Amino acid sequence: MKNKIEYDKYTVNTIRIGITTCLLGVILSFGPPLYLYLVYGAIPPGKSILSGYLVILSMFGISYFTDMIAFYPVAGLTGIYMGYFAGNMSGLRLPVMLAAREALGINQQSEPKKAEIVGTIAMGASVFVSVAATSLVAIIGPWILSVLPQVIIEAFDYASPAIMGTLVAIVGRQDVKRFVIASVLAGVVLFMDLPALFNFPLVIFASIAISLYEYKKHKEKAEEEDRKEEKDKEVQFE
Amino acid sequence: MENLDYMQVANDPKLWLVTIPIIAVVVIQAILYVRNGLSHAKEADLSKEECKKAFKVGIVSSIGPSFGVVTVMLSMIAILGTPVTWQRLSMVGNAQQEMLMAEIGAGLYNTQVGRPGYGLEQFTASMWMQTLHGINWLIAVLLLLHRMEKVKVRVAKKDAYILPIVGSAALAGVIAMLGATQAKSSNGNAIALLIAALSMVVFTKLGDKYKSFRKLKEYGVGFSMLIAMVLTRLIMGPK
Repeated sequence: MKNKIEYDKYTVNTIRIGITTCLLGVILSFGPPLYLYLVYGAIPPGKSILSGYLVILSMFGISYFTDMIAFYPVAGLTGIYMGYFAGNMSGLRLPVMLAAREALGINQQSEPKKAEIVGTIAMGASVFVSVAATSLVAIIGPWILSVLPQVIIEAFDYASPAIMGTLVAIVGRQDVKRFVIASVLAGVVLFMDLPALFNFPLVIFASIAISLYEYKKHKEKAEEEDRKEEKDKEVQFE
Repeated sequence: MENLDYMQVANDPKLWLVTIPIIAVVVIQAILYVRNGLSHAKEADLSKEECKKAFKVGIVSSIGPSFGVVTVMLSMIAILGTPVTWQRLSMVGNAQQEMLMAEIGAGLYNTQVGRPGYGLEQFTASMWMQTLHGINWLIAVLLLLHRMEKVKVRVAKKDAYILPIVGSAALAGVIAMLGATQAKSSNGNAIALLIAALSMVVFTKLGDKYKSFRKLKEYGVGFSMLIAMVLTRLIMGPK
């Protein structure tokens, strides 16, 4: 097959692990619903399942793919396979990945391989922690609630925006101008009050379009300056 | 009467038998990926120290957000039982999405989770919706991801700068949108976001400038979260 792309061993492993585990995930996901059907005879009518599925598709159909497009450049193959499967991408996996790169002073553009592996290790750690946490809560949940002071429990209501704040700081500092533009776009989109379905794709694609446009202009300017230099050199030799 | 029935089923101990395997796969996948990363770390010029640090930062930064799941999980357990809640919150999707799916299932019968009319069949519908939503993410990945890698390699060959630019722009878009949505949702959320962002900037700058503050930068995410959460609660008062 012409144009076959050669992947290095790391990537081959990544894809292999990813496809196997995600396939297993799809199959095993049906465990509980099937159990309920086989043991209790409980199952919604096919029509209901279908109409429910259509509702889900209308709400998230685009997100399944745009999330991947948006996170893939930063998270890499491993980041998506793991992040998607373990869940909580923007609230936990991504922040942890970025935090690890930040802590080690690794820039993804200049050291992509390092960034990929560091991100992988950190995300793996986050999976262990999150599963341990949910398991802990499953076992002694009510006791935890009874022991923690009320103030702390109420403070956890702000965990989500807090984590988002740290992400805003990390991503914003990478390129302030671009982030300000993206924030303005986000503000405009929110103000327009469209169905939620359109918000993310709109902002993502607008942000990409603006960045690509600026890049094109920058490239053209650089090429113009190269041409001027060439012309000046010609003049010198006349 | 119906309500009691479904909760008994929801807490059926045998449900653990069908929920544990998939979470085991989640954990095994993480182990495999970490091992894959470690075995290729030398090629990428990463020292053992750096790998250890990455792991440490991974663990510490995850603690805060993970325990943020605590309060949500407990309220979910009360209406969906422990095994299923544990399973769904340990894998694909997040707490809000899982609750949304559960409600969609209930909505198919014109009721809501945990309300009158929500019995065994409705609970099953909730689980079907959660399952279908979950596998959608996985199917999208299975269909598209390895192809994206091919696209990435081809585009990078044509112009090495385009993909990083698209990537950074997309990330900025997503984070800006997520942040804006949070900020718009309530004053408390906006304040928490702001405090966390500011703390993060301060810690990073301090860590960059002064060696003694390096730990601050390393665990900046965790610290910023804590400070933002506690301060916001103190500012906003009890709900």
